[in-house]
Amino acid sequence: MTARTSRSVRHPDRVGLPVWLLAALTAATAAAAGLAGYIAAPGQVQPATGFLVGSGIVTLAVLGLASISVRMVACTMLFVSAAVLVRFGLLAGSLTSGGQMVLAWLVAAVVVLVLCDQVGTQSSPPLAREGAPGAAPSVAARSALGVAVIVVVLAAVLAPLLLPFVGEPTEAGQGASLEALRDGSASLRATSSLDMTTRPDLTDEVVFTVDSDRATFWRGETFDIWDGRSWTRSDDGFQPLLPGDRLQVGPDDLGARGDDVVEQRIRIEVSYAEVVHGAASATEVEIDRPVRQRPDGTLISAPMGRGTTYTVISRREPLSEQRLRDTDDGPTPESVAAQYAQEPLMTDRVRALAADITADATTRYDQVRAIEAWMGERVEYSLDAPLAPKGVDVVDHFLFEAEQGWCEQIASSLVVLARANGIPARLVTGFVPDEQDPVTGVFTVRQRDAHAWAEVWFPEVGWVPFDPTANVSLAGDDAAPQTIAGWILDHLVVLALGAAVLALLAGPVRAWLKRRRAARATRPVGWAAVTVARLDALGARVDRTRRDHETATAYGAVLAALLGDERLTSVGQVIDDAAYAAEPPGLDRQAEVDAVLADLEAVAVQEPVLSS
Amino acid sequence: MSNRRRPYDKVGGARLTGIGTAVLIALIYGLASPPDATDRQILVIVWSALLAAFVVGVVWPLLVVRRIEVEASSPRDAFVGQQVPIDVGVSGITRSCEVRVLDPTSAWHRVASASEGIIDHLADRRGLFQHLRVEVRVTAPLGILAAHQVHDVQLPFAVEVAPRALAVDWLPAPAPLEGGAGDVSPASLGGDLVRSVRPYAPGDPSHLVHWPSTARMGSLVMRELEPPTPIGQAVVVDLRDLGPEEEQAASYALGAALAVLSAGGELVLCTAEATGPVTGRVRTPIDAGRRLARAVAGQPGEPPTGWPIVEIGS
Repeated sequence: MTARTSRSVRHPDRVGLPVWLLAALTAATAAAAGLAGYIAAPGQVQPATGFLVGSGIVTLAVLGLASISVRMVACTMLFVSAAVLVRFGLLAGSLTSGGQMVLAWLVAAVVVLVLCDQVGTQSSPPLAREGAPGAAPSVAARSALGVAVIVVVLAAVLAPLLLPFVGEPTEAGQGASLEALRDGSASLRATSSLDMTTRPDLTDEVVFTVDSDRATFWRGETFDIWDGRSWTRSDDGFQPLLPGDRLQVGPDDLGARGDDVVEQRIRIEVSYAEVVHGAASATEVEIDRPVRQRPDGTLISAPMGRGTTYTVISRREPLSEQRLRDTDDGPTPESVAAQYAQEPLMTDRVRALAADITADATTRYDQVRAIEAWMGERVEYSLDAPLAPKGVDVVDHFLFEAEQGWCEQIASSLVVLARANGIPARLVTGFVPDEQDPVTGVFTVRQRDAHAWAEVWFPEVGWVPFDPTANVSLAGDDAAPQTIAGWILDHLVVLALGAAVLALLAGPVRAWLKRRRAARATRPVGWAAVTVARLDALGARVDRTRRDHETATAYGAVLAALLGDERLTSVGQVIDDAAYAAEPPGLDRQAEVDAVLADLEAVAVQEPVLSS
Repeated sequence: MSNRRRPYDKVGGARLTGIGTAVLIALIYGLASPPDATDRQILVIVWSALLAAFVVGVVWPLLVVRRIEVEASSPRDAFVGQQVPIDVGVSGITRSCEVRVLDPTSAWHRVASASEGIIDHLADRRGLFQHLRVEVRVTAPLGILAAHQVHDVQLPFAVEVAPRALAVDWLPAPAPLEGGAGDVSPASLGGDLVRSVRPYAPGDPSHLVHWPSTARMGSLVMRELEPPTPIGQAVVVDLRDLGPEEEQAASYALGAALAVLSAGGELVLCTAEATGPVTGRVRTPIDAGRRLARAVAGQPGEPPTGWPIVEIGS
């Protein structure tokens, strides 16, 4: 027979390493790698798959490569995950996972570094004598969490200070490319018409990001001519602008006079873009290439590629329902009325419906709100709504036949119904804010966030956006309830920080509770115990503590002699009776004792009476 | 323990570890050429977190290592080549720090929860040592910087490191004790021959009562014994001008001293110490080791007159 022998080839820093420390280091490293995989997962791979692959590989490496230093494996894996995170996550063009995951990766990375340091220290022989306790998991956990919290808080303090010095306000980015004609680029290309007889193809592709301190609708183009099947514009001319030129503000754009300034830094994430998006009433644009401006304020740039960054500064008037109602008496300029208040092509029943809906409304604002409310009650939102047959007015079909549609049909209907009542209105396409990074506040705008809404012109205020789609319920399910997992993901940072704070506070709180419990355990309970404690305190004032063998009666007699007050003798007897007698003293005797003790406690400490 | 010396194993100072160097390179690279990212804010947060981690990882150990106090004690006697158990106590913020003894450099020992313990330290040189250098290292919490602090610890008792004794076959010669060192005590109560008797004096041991004379005299009479013929040696150790052979001479001297003592002989060591020439009786091997631990190159003490002398050294 051949004896089989197995040789241990474990690296010295693994020998004697506590199991909990190895497990914690493996878990933290796997979490860091998994998060990097989650963040950097390419489009065709689910983020969860990226997490599992990353954490699985690292777990196998840390546990399996036993002949290599566990610190070296963990640190190498951490730096590899950092490289993956930066190269394929932060710099890939679309950070789909958001800042929370990056923050979680940072915390995991700090924990890995702390645990690696502890593993390094553990590999040294202990200074402790035989039998002394080793490092405790709770201490290591508190250290790791404490350092992670410090690093995150410091990063949160430093980041706003450093932000102005990092990156340029405008960047050229990559050259524009027409390779991907079917990608999100289509939604950023300038167009002269909007066909309402085709169904939109909305995807999750990120088209641009917006760094702004507030959420708003990011306007692209406007349309004012409706032919029953598509939108076009009456004036498609351009005014060229050179870098540094101020934007031309149209006479109808009264919002540009407002004092409320909105600054947006937008970065293009698709291969080709022309339309410069921004909040309504843009007054300044900072971009490194030529721009053309339409009379309606729409900005069209020379083709932009991925990474192109520009800044738009918009202004707006403060609005309220009352102000909009109050402006109703103001005049509407002829140019605005001629271009935007003309009755578009519509069927008779649409015209009749417009009159019917707004019959009770007295102001322009109330008329628009009445149209919104009517649509909110009668129509539903659905991307699967039937398309209007050839030769049929799309608005008529939507309002009376299908009663289902998407934002373009809903907003078009509002514009048509408003114009039927002589209200200046136009259709606007652009994007709405949906996903804001809770860490950085940057809005991620995807192709599915493409939207159409209406703008109505008010005297003294100018163009005011109305989004009738917001009042329309979804076809089928009213609302998709948020899952628990989704809620946890949305609040990951708050939950993690809360858990860290709780973990850090757990130790001190537990120690305080223990001290409090111990104090309560030694606190006298019952009249006899409380009174004997008072007697003890009295004796301590004359440096005569009660001996272990002394009863309250004996101690009272001693104190009576020392303090020269015979009443203390009976005090001791009453205390013993209260504690041990079959018939305890009545309340009156207890009150007498309390009075005696109160007398003695109130007076200044007397010199003890010394026997001669 | 691995014998490979890592860069941060140098004594004293503070230096970045491999992780720290990698973090610093990433920081500098990020600052010099900030990459073009989708969300520059998240990039700044990552860079800020890296900077925060670097700052914490550098400042923390530098602060902590200066707040650590070290004390140490050692057995008084040792010999060259012996692993001496040094009792090291560490106080202050001792979590996750490491200590080692220098001269020569011992292995790092972690100070986790206990604040004192034993470090075996090699006594590699003969001599009298009043101080001990103990080095503290802190890499916590992130292992980015290794901060070292060397403490020159005053020992409560000086360590006297004796030379390693060479095996010497030595037979001491008869020594005229009365004519020699003045501190040689008369052996009136020791020996093996009865020389005479005398009346009892308080304090005399009972086993020396001479019972026949006591019976005759009616009072206690004590025996006085003749001591054996004394043997001894005066060893003169002159370490001057020996160069690299100085330690070998000290080792030989200790071997000779031990040979004399093991043969039951009296020993007088004549050496030179830092305070000057010293001549003195040595009764135990430990005393011999201590004398030779203190011995330096210089004029040795004069040997007592009439003693057989052996001179070691130049």
